[in-house]
Amino acid sequence: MVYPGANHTRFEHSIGVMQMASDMFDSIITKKQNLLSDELSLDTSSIQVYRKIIRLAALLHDVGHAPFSHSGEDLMPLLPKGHIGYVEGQEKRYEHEDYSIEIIKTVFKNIIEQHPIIKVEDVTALLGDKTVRPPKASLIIWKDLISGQLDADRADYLLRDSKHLGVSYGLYDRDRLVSCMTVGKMEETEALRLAIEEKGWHLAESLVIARYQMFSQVYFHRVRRIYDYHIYRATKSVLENKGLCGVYPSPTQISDYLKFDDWAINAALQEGLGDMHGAIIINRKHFKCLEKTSDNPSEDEEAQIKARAQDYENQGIECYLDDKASTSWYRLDKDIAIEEHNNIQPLSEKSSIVKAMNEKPRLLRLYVERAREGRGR
Amino acid sequence: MDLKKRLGIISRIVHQQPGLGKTAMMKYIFLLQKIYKVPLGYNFEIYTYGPYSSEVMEDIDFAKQQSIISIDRIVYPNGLKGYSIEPTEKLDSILEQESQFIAQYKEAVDSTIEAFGDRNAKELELLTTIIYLYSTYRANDWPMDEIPLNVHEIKPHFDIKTIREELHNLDTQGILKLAV
Repeated sequence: MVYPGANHTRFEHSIGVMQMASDMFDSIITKKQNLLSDELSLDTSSIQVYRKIIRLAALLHDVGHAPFSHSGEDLMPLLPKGHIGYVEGQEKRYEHEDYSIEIIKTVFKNIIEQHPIIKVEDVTALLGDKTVRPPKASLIIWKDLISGQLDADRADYLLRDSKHLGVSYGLYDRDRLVSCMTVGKMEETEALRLAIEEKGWHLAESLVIARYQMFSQVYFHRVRRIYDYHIYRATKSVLENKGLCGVYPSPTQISDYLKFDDWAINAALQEGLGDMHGAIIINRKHFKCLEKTSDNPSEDEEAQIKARAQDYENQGIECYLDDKASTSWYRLDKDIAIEEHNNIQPLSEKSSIVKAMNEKPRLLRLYVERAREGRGR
Repeated sequence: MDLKKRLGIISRIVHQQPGLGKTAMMKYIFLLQKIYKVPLGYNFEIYTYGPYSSEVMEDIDFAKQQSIISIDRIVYPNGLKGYSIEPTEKLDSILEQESQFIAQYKEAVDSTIEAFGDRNAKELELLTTIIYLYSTYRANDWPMDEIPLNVHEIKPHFDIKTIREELHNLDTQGILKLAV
């Protein structure tokens, strides 16, 4: 809709993440094998096995995404009582990682375990699987490559999205990033973690700026955001019309969940199962953004925009107040660890630009259905 | 859990124990959520540096950006560099705004500080790793006697004897049974 060239898929992204993680791993091992051996007893025989585990985790990290990715996350069922992540009094949903883990454990187990040493649990542990024993430090340290400040996921999607969208931001020096990857000791506790070498701190700065630009210009583009909402509502209708109570099957019913992909949802929308929001997507008549607050709104600003939304609702006009910025999947994670003489300090100690940046905007946007947008004023 | 309430709890911690480091703040919040069931909604995962949630770091950064707290660089008595989180004038207004929510969990914050306030960041990393693993082992019904070895595998700089002692202390204090 907003960027017509953005037809790339998670498949090529996943291959890109696998390659990125492999390159980062090789770069770190080349320069820090001795430190890892001394501190974490990483032996040479483990290196090739760990490399394979990391590649598998990187390749499969997104395999559990719902159709149309993050817009489907609010349609995942609530964690039931007794689930390891359940917290009394809180409504926590399954996340796409839960589905990824389950798919790896079921669909990919036999393939992965054709390897004489690697177990499927080695792979899922790197994806945050809380039903397997946490692995030893010499393996768990690589979790940062899969989900951390400097993970291969974000390193790949910034460049990939930038290229396919045809925008000139989101760019940074990929090869330089890989060559500057290292490990160091955290200042307060001396625990090891992944970092960027001090000589590459300007690169880290450019990476954070690239993230910020992609966040503000692309991922948070006002039209792109409203389509997240329309897709969410349309998919909810599809699930209801298929007798599924408006949520996807849980990870315990993984074969049912796997029946839902982008094509299945698209077909359902064409059949009219997406109701009003399905029609909006097909006809490209999205709600219009009529108002927004500043990036960090005051209480007055928030109250005003909420009152305006209430006005529309009172008049029977469909509107949507997007206040999900602060709970978005996107993380700036600006304080990348910088290593100097084996010790780590945060990037904001080096870069005044990064120091001044907000971790994320918390703006609210009010969208109103198109045919009636003028009536509330 | 909305941001203001989370900031309210962070503010209460800083108010009660000014000078806390970033790692200690992270671990206190883990303890509040895991042991004292304060519904903060953070998602913690285990790393070589113990239980960690990037959302907590975001909130600390936001509190700093909003001048609710200040964060200074310091050198600890053990020679390690770190941070000192201090209250600002604005902190009191957050405490007031969120007074109802804070009142519900005031005792939890005070108990956390009482039980863990004299521990340094390195020790807190170990203690929270033990608690995280205890909770995970209980949830999965795994043999509890394997916890010390698993903790040692994640934090190899701590020997098994020290880990066993800390595990025993946490058990004696009645903290472990709350971590389920």
